[in-house]
Amino acid sequence: MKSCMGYIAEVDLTLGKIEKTEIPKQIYDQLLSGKGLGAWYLYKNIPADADPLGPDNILGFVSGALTGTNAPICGRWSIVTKSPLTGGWGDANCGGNFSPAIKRCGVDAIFIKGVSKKPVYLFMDDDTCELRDASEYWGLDAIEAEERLFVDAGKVKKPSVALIGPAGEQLSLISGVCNEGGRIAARSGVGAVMGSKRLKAVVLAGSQKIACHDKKAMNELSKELAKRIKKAYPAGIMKGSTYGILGAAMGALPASMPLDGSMNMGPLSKWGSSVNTVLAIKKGDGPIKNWGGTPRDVKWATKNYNPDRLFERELNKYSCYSCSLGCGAVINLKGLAYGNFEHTHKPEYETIQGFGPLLLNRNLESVLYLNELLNRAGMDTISAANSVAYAIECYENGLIDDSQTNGLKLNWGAHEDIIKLVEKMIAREGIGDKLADGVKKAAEYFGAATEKFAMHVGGQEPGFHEPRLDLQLGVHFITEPSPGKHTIGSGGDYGNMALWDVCTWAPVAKVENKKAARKPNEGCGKASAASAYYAMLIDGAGGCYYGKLIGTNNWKLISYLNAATGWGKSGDEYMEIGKRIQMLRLMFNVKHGVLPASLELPKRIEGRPPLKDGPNKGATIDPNEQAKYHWKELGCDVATGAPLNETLEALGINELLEL
Amino acid sequence: MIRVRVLLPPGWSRKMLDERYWLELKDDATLADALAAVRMPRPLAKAFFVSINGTFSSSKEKLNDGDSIAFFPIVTSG
Repeated sequence: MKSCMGYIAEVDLTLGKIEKTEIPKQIYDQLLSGKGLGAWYLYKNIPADADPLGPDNILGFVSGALTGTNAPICGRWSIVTKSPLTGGWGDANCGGNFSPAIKRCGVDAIFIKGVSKKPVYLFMDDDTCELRDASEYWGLDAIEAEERLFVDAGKVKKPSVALIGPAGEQLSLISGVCNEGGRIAARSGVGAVMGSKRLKAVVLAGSQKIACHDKKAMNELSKELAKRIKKAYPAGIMKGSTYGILGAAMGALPASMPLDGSMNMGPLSKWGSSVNTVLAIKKGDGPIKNWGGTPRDVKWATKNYNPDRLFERELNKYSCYSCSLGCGAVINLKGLAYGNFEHTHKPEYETIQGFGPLLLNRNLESVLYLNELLNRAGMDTISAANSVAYAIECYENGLIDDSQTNGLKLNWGAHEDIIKLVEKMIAREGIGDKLADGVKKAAEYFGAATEKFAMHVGGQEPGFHEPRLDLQLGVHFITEPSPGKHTIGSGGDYGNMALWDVCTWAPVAKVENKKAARKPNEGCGKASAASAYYAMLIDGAGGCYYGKLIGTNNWKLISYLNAATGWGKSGDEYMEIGKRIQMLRLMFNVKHGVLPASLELPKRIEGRPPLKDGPNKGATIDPNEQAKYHWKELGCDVATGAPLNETLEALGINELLEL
Repeated sequence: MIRVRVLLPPGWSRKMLDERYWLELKDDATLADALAAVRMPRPLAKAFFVSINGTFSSSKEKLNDGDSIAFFPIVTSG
C-alpha cells in the first residue's frame, strides 16, 4: 500500500536487539495498518500464558494507513498490548504528532518485547535505531522527562516522544503513555506494560517521506472539510450554557432521534469535548455520584462546569497533526488555589465529568489541577476518577475507615481530600497504593462487600457515558475486546455518523421511543456491529473518533482511503476490513482466556435498582441479551462470543495468520 | 436535481424524505425551498436553530448536492 512504509521495527529489550522487518503486502490489503497490523502481530507473537507485565508481553506503537497522506483528522497513534488490567486485548490511543513520526522513521509500527535490566529509551531517526540509557530520566514526570529528552536528543528539529511518568514506572495498572506535554494514551494499563519493560521513552526523529496515491484528490478533500469546519464555528449567540438547556430538552423528550454530525463540528472546534459536560448531565448521559446519582444531585454543575469557564482560560488553541477540527487548547492555571503549575491541556469531558459530577465535586479549579497532576504522572483520569468514587462510597458506607484512609475524609465533593487521595495514588502510598491498580483490584483488597461500588467491566473502568440512556453503548462496553471503552460506539454516535450512507447493510437510525429503544432488538445488533467495524477501520487508518462524530458526509474516510491507496473499494469492502480487525482482537481474547461473551456491566449501571428521578428514571437494561444480536451479526458464537470458524474462513483470517 | 439530507425534529412528518432522510430538490434550490418541501414554517425553523452543514443559515442560502440540514444543535461523546 502506497501510504504505508511496509516495515516494522522489532525490539527485544532483553537481548538489546533491534530488527527492521518487512511486512507482507496481504496484511496491509486485508487489515490496513494501525490497530489492524497490531492485532495481527500480537495475536501471532504473544504466548497465551504471557504475564502482561513479563518479558513475553509485547508493546506495540502503531501509526495508521492514512497518517501523513494529508487525510484530515488522521494523526492518531495507538498502543497495543496484552492488558494487565483485563488480561485480554489492550489498547489506547492519542493525538499529537507521534503518529507521523513513527512513519517518518521508515516503519508503520514498533513492537517491543523483553525486559531491560536498567531503564532505557529507544531512539530512532533515519540512520539510527538504538537503545540508550534512561537512568537520569527515570523518576521524572512525563513533562519534565520529555523536555529533557528534547534537549538531549541534540536534533535541530524537536523529536516526537512517547513516554511514561511515575505511574507507569510504578506499574500502576491504570497508567498510560504520554506525549506532547502530558497528553495521554490512557487506557488498558499500557503505561504499566511499558514500565515493566523499564522502557522510559520512545524518541523519534526521522524525516522519511510518506506517499499518497492521489495527492491532488486528497488535498481537495482535505480543503473541503476544512472549509466546512471553519464555517461551522459557533455563532456568538451560542454560549456554553446553551448546551445545558439543549441537554435538558433532550432529556425531557420521550424519543431519541438521529442527529446531524455536522452540528458537532463547531462546538468541538470551539470548546473541545468539554462542551459535552453540561449537555451530558442534563440529558442523562453523564454519570453522577459513582453512577448512582441523578442531575438533581448536581444542580450546580451547569454553572460550575460551563465550558465557557474553560474557554475564558485558554492561552492558545492547538490541533493534532493534520486535524482541521482543532479541539485542543492550553489553558492558564496561574492563580489556582492548588499547586504551582502554569498551564495544562484543556481537560477532556471524561476528566471533567469524572472528577466533577461523578464525585459531586463543585470545584472546577481542583479538576484543572488534577488534570495536570494526572497527565504528568501518566495516569488514566477515567480509571482514577472511578477509583476515587469507589473509595468515597466505601467510606460513606463504613467499609473503609479513617485508619485506612490515612486520615483523609473521603466525603462526596471534598475536593481537597480528593486531591490528597490522588496524590497518594500516584505515589502509591497507603490507600493510594490499593487504588492505583483500579477498582477491581481495590475491591479484592477491601473485601466482597465493596464490590457493588466498584464500577468496572472485565477489570476496566467504564468511560463516562450512560448505558441506561443508550443500550448500544452498554453493548459496546461489554462486547469490546478492551471492555468499558466509550469510544467504539453508541446509539447517539451511530445517528451522527450516518453509516448507512457508506455501508449498504448498516440500518438507518430512526426516531425511537426511549423506553422501546431500551428493549433488545435486531436493529441495534446490526448498528453495534457496524459501529465496531467502523471504529476498527478508523483505527487501522489512524483516524480520530471525533472524525466519526461529525458524520460520514463531512469526514469522508472511505474517499480518503481510496485517495491514499488507489484501491477504489466500496464502503462495504472497507467495513469488511474493520470486521477482520475486530475478529482478530476477539480471537486474541479467546486465546488469552477472556471469553468475549462472559463480561457484564455492574448491576448499578444496568439500572438494578433503577434511578428514582432524572432522564433515566426507572430505566433498566439488559445488554447481555442485546449482545446476542451483536454476536450473531458478527458471526460469533452467541453463547461465548468466540468467532465461528466459518466467519474466520470467509474473512481469510486463517491464511493471514500463516503469513 | 440535487439531494440534501434533512434531519427533522421528533414528531415531524418525514413523508417527503426517502428512507435515508434524503430530499430531492431542483438544482438552484435554497433552504427556503427545502423548508417548504418538509412543510416547516420559517419562524419555527429558526426556533429550531436550522443549520446547513452545522452552520446556522438564512432561508436564502443556496443548497448544494450532499448538504445536510438539521434542526437541533447537539454534541455527543468526549
